[in-house]
Amino acid sequence: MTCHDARERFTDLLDDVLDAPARADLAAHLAGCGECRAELERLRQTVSLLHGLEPPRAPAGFVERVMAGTSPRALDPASRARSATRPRPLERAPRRRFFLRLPVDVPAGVAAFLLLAVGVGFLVTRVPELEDARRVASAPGSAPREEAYSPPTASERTAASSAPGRADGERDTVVSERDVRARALADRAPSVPADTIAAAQAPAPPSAPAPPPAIATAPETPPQTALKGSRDEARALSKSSAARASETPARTARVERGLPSAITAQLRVADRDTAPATVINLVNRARGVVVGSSADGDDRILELMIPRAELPRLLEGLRSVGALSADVPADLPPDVHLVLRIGA
Amino acid sequence: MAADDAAWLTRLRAGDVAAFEELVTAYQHRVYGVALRMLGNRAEAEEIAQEVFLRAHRTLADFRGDAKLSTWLYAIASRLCLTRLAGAERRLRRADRVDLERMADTREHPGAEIERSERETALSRAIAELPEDRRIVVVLRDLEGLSYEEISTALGVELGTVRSRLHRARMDLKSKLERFFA
Repeated sequence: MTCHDARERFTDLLDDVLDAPARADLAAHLAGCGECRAELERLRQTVSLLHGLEPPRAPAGFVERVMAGTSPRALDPASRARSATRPRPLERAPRRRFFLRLPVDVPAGVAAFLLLAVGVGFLVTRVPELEDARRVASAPGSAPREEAYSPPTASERTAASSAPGRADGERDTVVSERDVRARALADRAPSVPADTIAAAQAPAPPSAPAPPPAIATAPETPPQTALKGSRDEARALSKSSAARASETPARTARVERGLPSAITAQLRVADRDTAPATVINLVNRARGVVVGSSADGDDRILELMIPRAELPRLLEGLRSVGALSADVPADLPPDVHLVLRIGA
Repeated sequence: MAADDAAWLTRLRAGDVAAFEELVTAYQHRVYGVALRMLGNRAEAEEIAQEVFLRAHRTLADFRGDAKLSTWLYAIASRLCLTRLAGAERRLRRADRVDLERMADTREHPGAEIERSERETALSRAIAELPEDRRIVVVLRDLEGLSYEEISTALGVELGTVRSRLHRARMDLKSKLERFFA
Protein backbone atom coordinates (compact mmCIF):
# COMPACT_ATOMS: atom_id res chain seq x y z
CA MET A 1 0.00 0.00 0.00
CA THR A 2 1.36 3.44 -0.93
CA CYS A 3 1.17 6.50 1.32
CA HIS A 4 -1.41 7.98 -1.06
CA ASP A 5 -3.59 4.88 -0.82
CA ALA A 6 -3.26 4.87 2.93
CA ARG A 7 -4.24 8.54 3.29
CA GLU A 8 -7.26 8.07 1.06
CA ARG A 9 -8.60 5.74 3.73
CA PHE A 10 -8.07 7.98 6.72
CA THR A 11 -11.60 9.36 6.77
CA ASP A 12 -13.08 5.88 6.57
CA LEU A 13 -10.79 4.81 9.40
CA LEU A 14 -11.77 7.73 11.62
CA ASP A 15 -15.47 7.16 10.94
CA ASP A 16 -15.09 3.44 11.54
CA VAL A 17 -16.51 2.42 8.19
CA LEU A 18 -13.47 0.51 6.98
CA ASP A 19 -13.91 -3.23 6.55
CA ALA A 20 -11.59 -5.61 8.39
CA PRO A 21 -9.16 -6.46 5.56
CA ALA A 22 -8.74 -2.81 4.59
CA ARG A 23 -8.23 -1.86 8.21
CA ALA A 24 -5.53 -4.51 8.57
CA ASP A 25 -3.75 -3.29 5.43
CA LEU A 26 -3.83 0.28 6.67
CA ALA A 27 -2.61 -0.69 10.12
CA ALA A 28 0.32 -2.52 8.53
CA HIS A 29 1.24 0.56 6.51
CA LEU A 30 0.95 2.91 9.46
CA ALA A 31 3.15 0.68 11.56
CA GLY A 32 6.01 1.33 9.17
CA CYS A 33 5.33 4.95 8.08
CA GLY A 34 5.87 7.78 10.54
CA GLU A 35 4.78 10.44 8.03
CA CYS A 36 1.40 8.84 7.54
CA ARG A 37 0.97 8.39 11.30
CA ALA A 38 1.61 12.12 11.79
CA GLU A 39 -0.75 12.96 8.93
CA LEU A 40 -3.45 10.76 10.47
CA GLU A 41 -2.99 12.44 13.81
CA ARG A 42 -3.41 15.90 12.26
CA LEU A 43 -6.57 14.77 10.51
CA ARG A 44 -7.85 13.32 13.77
CA GLN A 45 -7.28 16.67 15.47
CA THR A 46 -9.06 18.48 12.63
CA VAL A 47 -12.13 16.28 13.01
CA SER A 48 -11.95 16.72 16.76
CA LEU A 49 -11.94 20.49 16.29
CA LEU A 50 -14.95 20.25 14.01
CA HIS A 51 -16.85 18.19 16.55
CA GLY A 52 -16.03 20.71 19.26
CA LEU A 53 -17.24 23.68 17.28
CA GLU A 54 -20.02 25.44 19.11
CA PRO A 55 -23.25 25.03 17.15
CA PRO A 56 -24.97 28.27 16.14
CA ARG A 57 -28.32 28.96 17.72
CA ALA A 58 -31.33 30.30 15.90
CA PRO A 59 -32.08 33.90 16.87
CA ALA A 60 -34.64 34.67 19.56
CA GLY A 61 -38.21 34.67 18.29
CA PHE A 62 -37.42 32.37 15.38
CA VAL A 63 -40.16 29.87 16.23
CA GLU A 64 -42.73 32.64 16.59
CA ARG A 65 -41.77 34.09 13.24
CA VAL A 66 -42.10 30.72 11.53
CA MET A 67 -45.44 30.07 13.19
CA ALA A 68 -46.66 33.51 12.20
CA GLY A 69 -45.84 32.70 8.59
CA THR A 70 -47.71 29.44 8.91
CA SER A 71 -51.39 29.98 9.31
CA PRO A 72 -52.72 27.54 11.90
CA ARG A 73 -55.74 26.99 9.67
CA ALA A 74 -53.48 25.79 6.92
CA LEU A 75 -52.65 22.72 9.05
CA ASP A 76 -56.30 21.88 9.39
CA PRO A 77 -57.13 19.48 6.56
CA ALA A 78 -60.72 20.73 6.39
CA SER A 79 -59.63 24.27 5.78
CA ARG A 80 -56.72 23.52 3.47
CA ALA A 81 -58.96 23.41 0.45
CA ARG A 82 -60.33 26.85 1.24
CA SER A 83 -56.97 28.36 2.01
CA ALA A 84 -54.97 26.69 -0.74
CA THR A 85 -55.56 29.43 -3.24
CA ARG A 86 -55.55 32.28 -0.77
CA PRO A 87 -52.56 34.51 -0.24
CA ARG A 88 -50.59 34.06 2.92
CA PRO A 89 -51.75 35.76 6.12
CA LEU A 90 -49.06 38.40 5.75
CA GLU A 91 -50.46 39.44 2.40
CA ARG A 92 -54.00 39.39 3.72
CA ALA A 93 -53.25 41.53 6.74
CA PRO A 94 -53.89 44.99 5.21
CA ARG A 95 -57.29 43.91 3.91
CA ARG A 96 -58.24 42.42 7.25
CA ARG A 97 -57.60 45.64 9.07
CA PHE A 98 -60.75 47.12 7.55
CA PHE A 99 -63.02 44.44 8.86
CA LEU A 100 -64.23 43.46 12.26
CA ARG A 101 -62.17 40.55 13.55
CA LEU A 102 -64.17 37.93 15.38
CA PRO A 103 -62.67 35.85 18.18
CA VAL A 104 -63.57 32.72 16.20
CA ASP A 105 -63.21 31.95 12.55
CA VAL A 106 -66.56 31.83 10.77
CA PRO A 107 -66.58 30.47 7.22
CA ALA A 108 -67.61 33.21 4.81
CA GLY A 109 -70.51 31.18 3.45
CA VAL A 110 -71.97 30.54 6.90
CA ALA A 111 -71.56 34.18 7.85
CA ALA A 112 -73.29 35.31 4.67
CA PHE A 113 -76.12 32.88 5.21
CA LEU A 114 -76.66 33.99 8.80
CA LEU A 115 -76.67 37.63 7.75
CA LEU A 116 -79.21 36.82 5.09
CA ALA A 117 -81.36 34.93 7.57
CA VAL A 118 -81.34 37.89 9.96
CA GLY A 119 -82.15 40.21 7.06
CA VAL A 120 -85.08 38.03 6.02
CA GLY A 121 -86.36 37.95 9.58
CA PHE A 122 -86.15 41.71 9.74
CA LEU A 123 -88.00 42.08 6.45
CA VAL A 124 -90.73 39.69 7.53
CA THR A 125 -91.45 41.69 10.64
CA ARG A 126 -91.20 45.08 8.90
CA VAL A 127 -92.93 44.59 5.55
CA PRO A 128 -96.72 44.38 6.06
CA GLU A 129 -97.31 41.98 3.18
CA LEU A 130 -94.67 39.59 4.41
CA GLU A 131 -95.90 39.81 7.94
CA ASP A 132 -99.41 38.95 6.69
CA ALA A 133 -98.06 35.97 4.84
CA ARG A 134 -96.27 34.78 7.96
CA ARG A 135 -99.45 35.13 10.03
CA VAL A 136 -101.44 33.20 7.46
CA ALA A 137 -98.88 30.47 7.46
CA SER A 138 -98.70 30.12 11.21
CA ALA A 139 -102.28 30.95 12.28
CA PRO A 140 -104.04 28.17 14.19
CA GLY A 141 -106.96 26.78 12.25
CA SER A 142 -105.62 27.97 8.99
CA ALA A 143 -104.89 25.57 6.21
CA PRO A 144 -102.20 23.06 7.03
CA ARG A 145 -98.73 24.27 6.26
CA GLU A 146 -98.33 21.78 3.45
CA GLU A 147 -101.34 23.31 1.74
CA ALA A 148 -100.32 26.92 2.31
CA TYR A 149 -97.09 26.44 0.48
CA SER A 150 -94.71 23.71 -0.54
CA PRO A 151 -92.74 22.40 2.40
CA PRO A 152 -88.99 22.45 2.19
CA THR A 153 -87.75 19.41 0.38
CA ALA A 154 -85.71 16.80 2.13
CA SER A 155 -82.64 17.91 0.25
CA GLU A 156 -83.17 21.49 1.34
CA ARG A 157 -83.33 20.37 4.93
CA THR A 158 -80.23 18.30 4.45
CA ALA A 159 -78.45 21.31 3.01
CA ALA A 160 -79.58 23.43 5.93
CA SER A 161 -78.62 20.84 8.51
CA SER A 162 -75.19 20.43 6.95
CA ALA A 163 -74.37 24.05 7.57
CA PRO A 164 -71.92 24.03 10.45
CA GLY A 165 -72.18 25.99 13.65
CA ARG A 166 -75.94 26.24 13.92
CA ALA A 167 -78.44 24.68 16.31
CA ASP A 168 -81.22 22.46 14.95
CA GLY A 169 -83.98 24.88 15.91
CA GLU A 170 -82.14 27.67 14.21
CA ARG A 171 -81.86 25.64 11.02
CA ASP A 172 -85.60 25.08 10.93
CA THR A 173 -86.21 28.76 11.50
CA VAL A 174 -83.95 29.70 8.65
CA VAL A 175 -85.58 27.26 6.27
CA SER A 176 -89.13 28.29 7.11
CA GLU A 177 -88.29 31.98 6.84
CA ARG A 178 -86.91 31.26 3.43
CA ASP A 179 -90.09 29.46 2.43
CA VAL A 180 -92.32 32.16 3.84
CA ARG A 181 -90.48 34.82 1.99
CA ALA A 182 -90.54 32.83 -1.23
CA ARG A 183 -94.20 32.12 -0.90
CA ALA A 184 -95.12 35.70 -0.07
CA LEU A 185 -93.18 37.14 -2.95
CA ALA A 186 -94.51 34.50 -5.30
CA ASP A 187 -98.02 35.57 -4.31
CA ARG A 188 -97.15 39.19 -4.95
CA ALA A 189 -95.60 38.47 -8.29
CA PRO A 190 -97.87 36.07 -10.13
CA SER A 191 -95.81 36.51 -13.27
CA VAL A 192 -93.15 34.40 -11.62
CA PRO A 193 -94.32 30.82 -11.75
CA ALA A 194 -93.83 28.77 -8.63
CA ASP A 195 -91.92 26.12 -10.55
CA THR A 196 -89.24 28.67 -11.33
CA ILE A 197 -88.73 29.26 -7.65
CA ALA A 198 -88.67 25.56 -7.02
CA ALA A 199 -86.23 25.02 -9.87
CA ALA A 200 -83.93 27.73 -8.63
CA GLN A 201 -84.05 26.38 -5.10
CA ALA A 202 -83.62 22.78 -6.12
CA PRO A 203 -80.29 21.24 -5.30
CA ALA A 204 -77.99 19.76 -7.90
CA PRO A 205 -79.33 16.76 -9.81
CA PRO A 206 -79.24 13.50 -7.85
CA SER A 207 -76.51 12.13 -10.13
CA ALA A 208 -74.19 14.96 -9.21
CA PRO A 209 -71.87 14.22 -6.28
CA ALA A 210 -72.27 16.55 -3.34
CA PRO A 211 -69.57 19.22 -3.33
CA PRO A 212 -66.91 18.86 -0.64
CA PRO A 213 -68.12 20.22 2.69
CA ALA A 214 -64.95 22.24 3.03
CA ILE A 215 -65.99 24.29 0.04
CA ALA A 216 -69.76 24.14 0.10
CA THR A 217 -70.34 25.86 3.41
CA ALA A 218 -73.08 28.01 1.94
CA PRO A 219 -76.30 26.77 0.38
CA GLU A 220 -75.88 26.24 -3.33
CA THR A 221 -78.86 28.45 -4.09
CA PRO A 222 -79.05 31.74 -2.29
CA PRO A 223 -82.72 32.61 -1.68
CA GLN A 224 -82.43 36.02 -3.28
CA THR A 225 -81.62 34.39 -6.59
CA ALA A 226 -84.92 32.57 -6.54
CA LEU A 227 -86.75 35.67 -5.50
CA LYS A 228 -85.70 37.47 -8.63
CA GLY A 229 -87.82 34.96 -10.39
CA SER A 230 -85.78 34.81 -13.52
CA ARG A 231 -85.81 31.62 -15.55
CA ASP A 232 -82.47 32.52 -17.04
CA GLU A 233 -80.91 32.74 -13.65
CA ALA A 234 -82.39 29.44 -12.66
CA ARG A 235 -80.93 27.89 -15.79
CA ALA A 236 -77.56 29.52 -15.17
CA LEU A 237 -77.60 28.20 -11.66
CA SER A 238 -78.29 24.69 -12.75
CA LYS A 239 -75.53 24.97 -15.33
CA SER A 240 -73.10 26.05 -12.68
CA SER A 241 -74.08 23.13 -10.45
CA ALA A 242 -73.60 20.80 -13.38
CA ALA A 243 -70.22 22.33 -14.11
CA ARG A 244 -69.14 21.76 -10.53
CA ALA A 245 -70.44 18.23 -10.63
CA SER A 246 -68.53 17.50 -13.81
CA GLU A 247 -65.15 18.33 -12.30
CA THR A 248 -62.86 15.36 -12.48
CA PRO A 249 -62.60 13.24 -9.35
CA ALA A 250 -58.83 13.82 -9.29
CA ARG A 251 -59.30 17.55 -9.24
CA THR A 252 -61.92 17.31 -6.52
CA ALA A 253 -59.74 15.03 -4.46
CA ARG A 254 -56.86 17.43 -4.80
CA VAL A 255 -58.94 20.34 -3.64
CA GLU A 256 -60.29 18.31 -0.75
CA ARG A 257 -56.84 17.31 0.37
CA GLY A 258 -55.46 20.77 -0.09
CA LEU A 259 -52.59 21.68 -2.34
CA PRO A 260 -49.85 20.91 -2.82
CA SER A 261 -50.57 17.27 -3.54
CA ALA A 262 -48.13 14.80 -4.91
CA ILE A 263 -47.95 14.07 -8.58
CA THR A 264 -47.25 10.45 -9.25
CA ALA A 265 -45.23 9.43 -12.25
CA GLN A 266 -43.82 6.21 -13.56
CA LEU A 267 -40.61 5.82 -15.45
CA ARG A 268 -39.97 2.61 -17.31
CA VAL A 269 -36.28 2.10 -17.98
CA ALA A 270 -34.05 -0.54 -19.53
CA ASP A 271 -31.55 -0.51 -16.67
CA ARG A 272 -33.08 -0.16 -13.22
CA ASP A 273 -29.69 -0.13 -11.51
CA THR A 274 -28.26 2.97 -13.16
CA ALA A 275 -31.48 4.89 -13.77
CA PRO A 276 -31.92 6.23 -10.20
CA ALA A 277 -28.50 7.90 -10.27
CA THR A 278 -29.32 9.48 -13.63
CA VAL A 279 -32.65 10.68 -12.30
CA ILE A 280 -31.02 12.15 -9.20
CA ASN A 281 -28.61 14.07 -11.41
CA LEU A 282 -31.54 15.44 -13.37
CA VAL A 283 -33.27 16.42 -10.13
CA ASN A 284 -30.16 18.22 -8.94
CA ARG A 285 -29.89 20.07 -12.24
CA ALA A 286 -33.54 21.06 -11.91
CA ARG A 287 -32.75 22.59 -8.51
CA GLY A 288 -34.93 19.92 -6.93
CA VAL A 289 -34.39 17.79 -3.88
CA VAL A 290 -34.79 14.09 -3.18
CA VAL A 291 -36.73 13.95 0.06
CA GLY A 292 -37.26 10.21 0.19
CA SER A 293 -36.20 7.01 -1.43
CA SER A 294 -37.56 3.51 -1.04
CA ALA A 295 -37.83 0.19 -2.81
CA ASP A 296 -41.04 -1.55 -3.78
CA GLY A 297 -40.12 -4.98 -5.03
CA ASP A 298 -37.72 -4.36 -7.90
CA ASP A 299 -38.97 -0.81 -8.37
CA ARG A 300 -37.33 2.21 -6.81
CA ILE A 301 -39.54 5.04 -5.59
CA LEU A 302 -38.07 8.50 -5.34
CA GLU A 303 -39.90 11.27 -3.56
CA LEU A 304 -38.91 14.59 -5.08
CA MET A 305 -39.58 18.25 -4.52
CA ILE A 306 -39.12 20.40 -7.62
CA PRO A 307 -39.63 24.12 -8.21
CA ARG A 308 -42.64 24.49 -10.49
CA ALA A 309 -40.65 26.40 -13.10
CA GLU A 310 -38.17 23.54 -13.40
CA LEU A 311 -40.71 20.74 -13.72
CA PRO A 312 -40.97 20.79 -17.55
CA ARG A 313 -37.19 20.57 -17.80
CA LEU A 314 -37.11 17.64 -15.41
CA LEU A 315 -39.89 15.81 -17.23
CA GLU A 316 -38.10 16.33 -20.52
CA GLY A 317 -34.93 14.91 -18.98
CA LEU A 318 -36.83 11.92 -17.59
CA ARG A 319 -38.26 11.19 -21.03
CA SER A 320 -34.74 10.88 -22.33
CA VAL A 321 -34.04 8.25 -19.66
CA GLY A 322 -37.07 6.05 -20.31
CA ALA A 323 -40.78 5.88 -21.00
CA LEU A 324 -42.45 8.36 -18.71
CA SER A 325 -46.10 8.44 -17.76
CA ALA A 326 -47.18 11.33 -15.60
CA ASP A 327 -50.43 13.14 -15.11
CA VAL A 328 -49.47 16.75 -14.52
CA PRO A 329 -52.32 19.05 -13.55
CA ALA A 330 -52.46 22.61 -14.82
CA ASP A 331 -52.55 24.30 -11.42
CA LEU A 332 -49.33 23.41 -9.67
CA PRO A 333 -48.06 24.76 -6.36
CA PRO A 334 -44.70 26.59 -6.32
CA ASP A 335 -43.00 23.48 -4.94
CA VAL A 336 -44.14 20.43 -6.81
CA HIS A 337 -44.09 17.20 -4.89
CA LEU A 338 -43.40 14.35 -7.28
CA VAL A 339 -43.43 10.66 -6.41
CA LEU A 340 -41.57 8.84 -9.15
CA ARG A 341 -41.61 5.09 -9.52
CA ILE A 342 -38.70 3.73 -11.52
CA GLY A 343 -39.23 0.27 -12.92
CA ALA A 344 -38.60 -1.92 -15.91
CA MET B 1 -38.46 5.80 10.43
CA ALA B 2 -38.38 6.01 14.22
CA ALA B 3 -41.59 5.34 16.14
CA ASP B 4 -41.42 8.81 17.66
CA ASP B 5 -41.15 10.34 14.21
CA ALA B 6 -44.11 8.27 13.02
CA ALA B 7 -46.29 9.42 15.91
CA TRP B 8 -45.15 12.97 15.39
CA LEU B 9 -45.90 12.79 11.70
CA THR B 10 -49.36 11.45 12.41
CA ARG B 11 -50.06 14.43 14.61
CA LEU B 12 -48.63 16.81 12.05
CA ARG B 13 -50.76 15.35 9.29
CA ALA B 14 -53.79 15.59 11.53
CA GLY B 15 -53.24 19.33 11.60
CA ASP B 16 -51.90 19.53 15.13
CA VAL B 17 -50.49 23.03 15.33
CA ALA B 18 -48.71 22.24 18.59
CA ALA B 19 -46.95 19.34 16.88
CA PHE B 20 -45.69 21.64 14.14
CA GLU B 21 -44.49 24.15 16.70
CA GLU B 22 -42.67 21.33 18.48
CA LEU B 23 -41.05 20.40 15.18
CA VAL B 24 -39.84 23.96 14.61
CA THR B 25 -38.67 24.25 18.20
CA ALA B 26 -36.81 20.95 18.06
CA TYR B 27 -35.03 21.57 14.77
CA GLN B 28 -34.68 25.34 14.63
CA HIS B 29 -31.06 25.45 15.78
CA ARG B 30 -29.96 22.59 13.56
CA VAL B 31 -31.63 23.94 10.45
CA TYR B 32 -30.43 27.46 11.17
CA GLY B 33 -26.93 26.10 11.91
CA VAL B 34 -26.72 24.40 8.52
CA ALA B 35 -27.93 27.55 6.78
CA LEU B 36 -25.47 29.78 8.63
CA ARG B 37 -22.53 27.47 8.01
CA MET B 38 -23.41 27.28 4.36
CA LEU B 39 -24.29 30.90 3.72
CA GLY B 40 -22.20 32.69 6.32
CA ASN B 41 -24.75 35.43 6.81
CA ARG B 42 -27.17 35.57 9.71
CA ALA B 43 -30.03 37.34 7.98
CA GLU B 44 -29.82 35.09 4.96
CA ALA B 45 -29.53 32.01 7.18
CA GLU B 46 -32.68 32.94 9.07
CA GLU B 47 -34.52 33.60 5.84
CA ILE B 48 -33.55 30.20 4.47
CA ALA B 49 -34.26 28.43 7.77
CA GLN B 50 -37.75 29.92 7.83
CA GLU B 51 -38.27 28.86 4.25
CA VAL B 52 -37.25 25.31 5.17
CA PHE B 53 -40.02 25.08 7.75
CA LEU B 54 -42.59 26.75 5.53
CA ARG B 55 -41.84 24.30 2.74
CA ALA B 56 -41.98 21.42 5.18
CA HIS B 57 -45.33 22.73 6.36
CA ARG B 58 -46.68 22.92 2.84
CA THR B 59 -45.59 19.41 1.92
CA LEU B 60 -46.16 17.58 5.19
CA ALA B 61 -49.37 16.02 3.94
CA ASP B 62 -47.47 14.33 1.15
CA PHE B 63 -44.38 13.33 3.10
CA ARG B 64 -44.32 9.55 2.84
CA GLY B 65 -42.11 9.02 5.83
CA ASP B 66 -39.51 6.87 4.11
CA ALA B 67 -36.77 9.02 5.62
CA LYS B 68 -36.55 10.43 9.12
CA LEU B 69 -38.17 13.80 9.67
CA SER B 70 -34.76 15.22 10.52
CA THR B 71 -33.21 13.89 7.30
CA TRP B 72 -36.09 15.35 5.36
CA LEU B 73 -35.56 18.76 6.94
CA TYR B 74 -31.81 18.57 6.32
CA ALA B 75 -32.56 17.65 2.70
CA ILE B 76 -34.72 20.71 2.23
CA ALA B 77 -32.22 22.93 4.04
CA SER B 78 -29.28 21.61 2.02
CA ARG B 79 -31.02 22.07 -1.28
CA LEU B 80 -32.21 25.56 -0.47
CA CYS B 81 -28.73 26.59 0.63
CA LEU B 82 -27.06 25.14 -2.45
CA THR B 83 -29.65 26.75 -4.69
CA ARG B 84 -29.10 30.09 -3.00
CA LEU B 85 -25.34 29.75 -3.33
CA ALA B 86 -25.67 28.86 -6.99
CA GLY B 87 -27.57 32.06 -7.68
CA ALA B 88 -25.60 34.50 -9.81
CA GLU B 89 -26.49 37.39 -7.53
CA ARG B 90 -25.24 35.52 -4.48
CA ARG B 91 -21.94 34.70 -6.14
CA LEU B 92 -21.18 38.36 -6.63
CA ARG B 93 -21.41 39.11 -2.93
CA ARG B 94 -18.23 39.08 -0.97
CA ALA B 95 -19.19 40.15 2.57
CA ASP B 96 -20.82 36.88 3.47
CA ARG B 97 -18.26 35.49 5.85
CA VAL B 98 -18.34 38.40 8.23
CA ASP B 99 -21.04 36.92 10.41
CA LEU B 100 -19.27 33.59 10.69
CA GLU B 101 -16.12 35.26 11.91
CA ARG B 102 -18.10 37.33 14.36
CA MET B 103 -19.92 34.24 15.47
CA ALA B 104 -16.68 32.66 16.65
CA ASP B 105 -15.57 35.91 18.20
CA THR B 106 -18.52 37.10 20.26
CA ARG B 107 -17.39 36.18 23.76
CA GLU B 108 -14.74 37.50 26.07
CA HIS B 109 -11.25 36.18 25.53
CA PRO B 110 -9.47 35.81 28.82
CA GLY B 111 -6.34 33.66 28.82
CA ALA B 112 -6.65 30.30 27.10
CA GLU B 113 -9.92 31.32 25.54
CA ILE B 114 -8.03 33.52 23.12
CA GLU B 115 -6.39 30.59 21.43
CA ARG B 116 -9.63 28.67 21.30
CA SER B 117 -11.40 31.64 19.80
CA GLU B 118 -8.70 32.07 17.17
CA ARG B 119 -8.91 28.40 16.34
CA GLU B 120 -12.68 28.52 15.99
CA THR B 121 -12.46 31.63 13.86
CA ALA B 122 -9.92 29.98 11.60
CA LEU B 123 -11.99 26.82 11.44
CA SER B 124 -15.17 28.71 10.60
CA ARG B 125 -13.33 30.60 7.89
CA ALA B 126 -11.84 27.41 6.52
CA ILE B 127 -15.27 25.77 6.39
CA ALA B 128 -16.66 28.82 4.59
CA GLU B 129 -13.87 28.57 2.01
CA LEU B 130 -14.61 24.96 1.13
CA PRO B 131 -16.30 24.30 -2.20
CA GLU B 132 -20.05 24.18 -1.61
CA ASP B 133 -20.54 20.51 -2.43
CA ARG B 134 -17.84 19.55 0.08
CA ARG B 135 -18.92 22.11 2.64
CA ILE B 136 -22.46 20.74 2.89
CA VAL B 137 -21.12 17.22 3.45
CA VAL B 138 -18.74 18.24 6.22
CA VAL B 139 -21.45 20.37 7.85
CA LEU B 140 -23.94 17.51 7.83
CA ARG B 141 -21.40 14.92 8.97
CA ASP B 142 -19.09 16.65 11.41
CA LEU B 143 -21.27 19.46 12.72
CA GLU B 144 -24.71 17.85 12.56
CA GLY B 145 -23.71 14.23 13.07
CA LEU B 146 -25.61 12.63 10.20
CA SER B 147 -24.60 9.16 9.04
CA TYR B 148 -23.23 8.62 5.55
CA GLU B 149 -26.53 7.04 4.55
CA GLU B 150 -28.54 9.98 5.83
CA ILE B 151 -26.30 12.41 3.96
CA SER B 152 -26.66 10.32 0.83
CA THR B 153 -30.45 10.50 1.15
CA ALA B 154 -30.50 14.18 2.05
CA LEU B 155 -28.30 15.23 -0.85
CA GLY B 156 -29.43 12.63 -3.33
CA VAL B 157 -25.89 11.45 -4.04
CA GLU B 158 -24.28 8.05 -3.83
CA LEU B 159 -22.52 6.84 -0.68
CA GLY B 160 -19.17 6.82 -2.44
CA THR B 161 -19.63 10.46 -3.35
CA VAL B 162 -20.38 11.30 0.26
CA ARG B 163 -17.21 9.56 1.44
CA SER B 164 -15.07 11.16 -1.21
CA ARG B 165 -16.38 14.69 -0.63
CA LEU B 166 -16.07 14.34 3.12
CA HIS B 167 -12.49 13.14 2.87
CA ARG B 168 -11.52 16.00 0.54
CA ALA B 169 -13.21 18.51 2.81
CA ARG B 170 -11.44 17.25 5.90
CA MET B 171 -8.07 17.21 4.17
CA ASP B 172 -8.64 20.80 3.01
CA LEU B 173 -9.47 21.86 6.53
CA LYS B 174 -6.48 20.06 7.95
CA SER B 175 -4.10 21.85 5.64
CA LYS B 176 -5.55 25.23 6.66
CA LEU B 177 -5.40 24.52 10.37
CA GLU B 178 -2.00 22.92 10.67
CA ARG B 179 -0.55 25.91 12.51
CA PHE B 180 -2.79 25.06 15.47
CA PHE B 181 -1.52 21.54 15.79
CA ALA B 182 1.41 20.72 17.99
